[in-house]
Amino acid sequence: MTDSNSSGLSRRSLVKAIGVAGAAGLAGCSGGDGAADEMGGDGSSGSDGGDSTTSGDGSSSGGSGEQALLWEYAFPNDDQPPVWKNAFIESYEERAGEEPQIARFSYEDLRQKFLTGARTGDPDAIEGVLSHLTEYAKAGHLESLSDWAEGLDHYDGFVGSALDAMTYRGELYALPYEGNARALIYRTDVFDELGQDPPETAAEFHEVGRMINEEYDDMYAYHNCTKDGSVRAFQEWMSHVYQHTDQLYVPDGESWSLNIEADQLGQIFDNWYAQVWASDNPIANPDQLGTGWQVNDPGYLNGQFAMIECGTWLRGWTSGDNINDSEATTQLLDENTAVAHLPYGDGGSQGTFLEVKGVMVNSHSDNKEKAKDIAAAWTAPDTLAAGAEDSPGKFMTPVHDSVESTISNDNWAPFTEVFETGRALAKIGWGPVRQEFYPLMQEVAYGRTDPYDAGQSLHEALSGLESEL
Amino acid sequence: MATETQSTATDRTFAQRLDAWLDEDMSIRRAMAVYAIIGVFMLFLLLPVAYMILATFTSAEFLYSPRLIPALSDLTLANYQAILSTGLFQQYFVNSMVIATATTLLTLTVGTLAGYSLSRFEYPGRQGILFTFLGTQMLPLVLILIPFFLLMFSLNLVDSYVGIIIAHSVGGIPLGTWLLKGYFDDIPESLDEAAKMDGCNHLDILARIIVPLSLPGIAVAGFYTFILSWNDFLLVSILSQTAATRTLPFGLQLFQSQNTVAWELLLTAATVTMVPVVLLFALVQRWVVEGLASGGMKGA
Amino acid sequence: MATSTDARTGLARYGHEFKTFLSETWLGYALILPAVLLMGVIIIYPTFRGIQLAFFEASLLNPGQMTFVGLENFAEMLSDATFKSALWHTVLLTAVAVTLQYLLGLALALVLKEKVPGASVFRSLSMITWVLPVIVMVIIFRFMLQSGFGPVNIVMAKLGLETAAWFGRPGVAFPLVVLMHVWRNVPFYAIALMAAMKSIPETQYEAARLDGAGPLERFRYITLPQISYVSMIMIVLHVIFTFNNFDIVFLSTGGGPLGNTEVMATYIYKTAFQQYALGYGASMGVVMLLIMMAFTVVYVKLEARD
Repeated sequence: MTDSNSSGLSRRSLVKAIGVAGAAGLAGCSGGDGAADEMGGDGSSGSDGGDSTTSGDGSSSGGSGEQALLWEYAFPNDDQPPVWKNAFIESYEERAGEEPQIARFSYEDLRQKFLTGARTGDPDAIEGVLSHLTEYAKAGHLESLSDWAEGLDHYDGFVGSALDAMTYRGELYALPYEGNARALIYRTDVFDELGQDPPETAAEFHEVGRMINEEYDDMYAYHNCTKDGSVRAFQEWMSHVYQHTDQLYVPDGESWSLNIEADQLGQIFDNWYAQVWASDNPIANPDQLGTGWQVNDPGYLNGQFAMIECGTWLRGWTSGDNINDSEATTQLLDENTAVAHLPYGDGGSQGTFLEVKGVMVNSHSDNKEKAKDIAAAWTAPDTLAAGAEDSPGKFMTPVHDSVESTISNDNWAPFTEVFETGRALAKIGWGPVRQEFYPLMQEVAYGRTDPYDAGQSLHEALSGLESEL
Repeated sequence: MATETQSTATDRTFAQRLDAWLDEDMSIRRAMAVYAIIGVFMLFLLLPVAYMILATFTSAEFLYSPRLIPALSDLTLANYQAILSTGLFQQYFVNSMVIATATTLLTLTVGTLAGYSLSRFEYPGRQGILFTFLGTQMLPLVLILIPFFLLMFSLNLVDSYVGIIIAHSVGGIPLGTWLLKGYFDDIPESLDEAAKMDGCNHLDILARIIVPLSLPGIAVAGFYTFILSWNDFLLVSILSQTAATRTLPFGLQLFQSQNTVAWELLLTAATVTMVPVVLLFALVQRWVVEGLASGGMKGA
Repeated sequence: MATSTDARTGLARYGHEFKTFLSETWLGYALILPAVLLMGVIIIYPTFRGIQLAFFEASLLNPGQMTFVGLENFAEMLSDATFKSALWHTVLLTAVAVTLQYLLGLALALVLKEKVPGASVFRSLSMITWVLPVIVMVIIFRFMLQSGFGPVNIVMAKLGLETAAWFGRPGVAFPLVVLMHVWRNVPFYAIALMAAMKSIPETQYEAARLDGAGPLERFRYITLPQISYVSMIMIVLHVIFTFNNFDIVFLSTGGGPLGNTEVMATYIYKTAFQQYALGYGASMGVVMLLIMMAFTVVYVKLEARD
């Protein structure tokens, strides 16, 4: 029958087809990375201006012939020429003889992807904030830089507190490049008109805040971040925590123990959330509950708020997408703004949240030498100087001696003092703490819970975490 | 039917009157009513999109002012110039295109073979396979996020076109296979018989008879898969490690930086992301409707 | 199967048919092999690993060290208030969204199938919201609803109404999420239902009209029953999509404010990535899967019985 013949043919041809497809597939799999690199190179080499991030030359897949991969979020993303980024690339090329591969992700994505995938060996280096460093170190994803760093030319110039911040259990896990502390940023013209001094205590803060609200129709006295999950909100809260204690958790043998009283937590909720948002005479605008830095920073710059808590990056932020009137903002920042320590509650003292950002090396990377070169290149004096040119706001309180503070305006000089009262986060995994904080903070801000009750609940919850951290 | 109309009460009369009014054949009145309702829906669905598109032709100053309608003098192409000349954006666009197209081709190929198998052959486990495929649609992605990533890594598929294409395909294969099977089922087996008499083997039948008759169904399956791949956010966010493999939806968030959200650029990029798939639908619309109408949905 | 008119007899014929059967079966398996291979490796395997995780305790920071805890994760769920509220939100969101989508989709299908001039243009236009990437939809809504310069607030200010950062308002955020789901998915229902309606032969309507049935009755007795199969598919698919959906909620509200829009998917994500509790997150994922499987089976059985 012709049937069996044709089935036989189809069987053979099917087997051939599957075989070919399979072979192609496997070849595609192993060559996939190389192909992607080449396609990536071709795509971006034709661009003008700022943004090509992969080098044009092909890299073969696998092994140490590969370029080092860096993940970052720090380089400015605007139309200006990438002075800082180019300086970094140059410095790296001197050390490693080739260009780095750079990819940009938001901090939240950086964290999620690194925690999930650090073991794959990609990326080789990553930059991030302090709380990230702690999580990565706890998970064993970071390479200790202690011995190697001491051999660096510019190692001696690093500011002590910044290096301490990057140290966990005696090992250095990152090279710092930026540091800033949170301070009270306020409108001198408003305060002058009312004949007031910047508040030092929380009580003074409430008083002057309410006064401002009465006097001014088109301005609110204050705004802070109350958005669920917002990193800023957490940092603002920690700033106030550090006014009442040096560290939220202190090491206690192998585990940690909570180092603050329930009453103090309650005070913080009261002073900065209940009074501000939920009281009968709120200090902020209750319509803006649940917002984050997107309202906070531009709001101040556009003249809507008289006081905010912020870091040095505000200084150079005179133009861009959410600034209504560049000139007005420039004048506001140059002439009508000054910096002071954050007001503190009863029983507290000057203190604030210290943010230090650093460059870290993936302990699972195949390319550790080059990754270390990345860290060295990023924090080298030339690169930092270029950064100060590109983003002066980030370098007002530099973490390396060779870099001059970019503060040029006396009104902003107090940042240096504030920086010195800053405390860096303890080296715990902050995820669970944040989980407890956000709901309670929102309940207080939205007026659902009494602040001291919330303080009590938070204290209990945080104590309960001691053994888990 | 006729018996139902016999009942008392005054509202019946009203309904009768309403019925009679509605019953008039495509009169102007009826057309007007139809247009009115369509208009309401279009307003609801399209107003936000239309406003976004309008906003992309204005400048940042306008966007941040309390004005709603731009004057003609406010309009500008600057945003598009900025976006389209950005090397990275071009990269993302190319990536999205390549990945979505390849995903569609792969899914259609695999799905056609599978659908044909399920439709024309009988073997143990046939129903089970189909149900399992459909069952994977019930999976919450968050459940398998981490094991999936680790698997892709061990297959060396992370941060490569191939990896993302494969990941997107498995999203499209279940529904695609099911749709195509439904389509193939509708084609009578007597055609197969006739072809076999002429000496065709199975692959011939598939290629020369089944596929040409099923083009609407293939259009539906292909369209669905393309959209799935083009719009995907979560899988790309996991699998892509560098800009070389990043696609448009994930790349959109990069128009926000630490301190600012560049709304006018973001909206423009979002519009450009949207245009290809809308055009695609306009092209295949007739086939999609035809495909859905003539039995693509009768899968089981 | 081809009818063979061969002249062999008895065993030989049986043997030949058996061989044909084998080769046919073999081919059947071969054709479906690529699909099974892809699905099996890429989806099924991680699913089993994910389900396996549900019975262990593992930390994101140290996933290698898993400890077996049996059903403890599931027990913990029973006393987890956030889990219950997330589950409730998910169920409520799914029920409300799918109902609205179906009703609006049905209405839109009815008008879109009319032969008015320009109908096909409207059909194309209506699908826009469905083909938009979710992130684009979220961007549009966030832009429109932002306090300050969002168009919605500008209009409300002009009307003298209250303005606010709407996504941050506890009572408003959840309805907004429902709205986004509806806005996005109505066209898909509309096109599918319209297609189904088109396949109903016009003659049936004619006959009914001749019998004296009005449009409402024609709709109820002719249209509805014949689109019930497609309706069922649409509803099942969308219940599953909405129940499992992660990105719409995550990208717009993140689960806030005050946990008002926390759904199962976002809660599982946070459990894994904020609390590092992989095992507990996986167990909740398993519960989601079970709920969806139960729903599908029950619903399909109910529909089939009609």
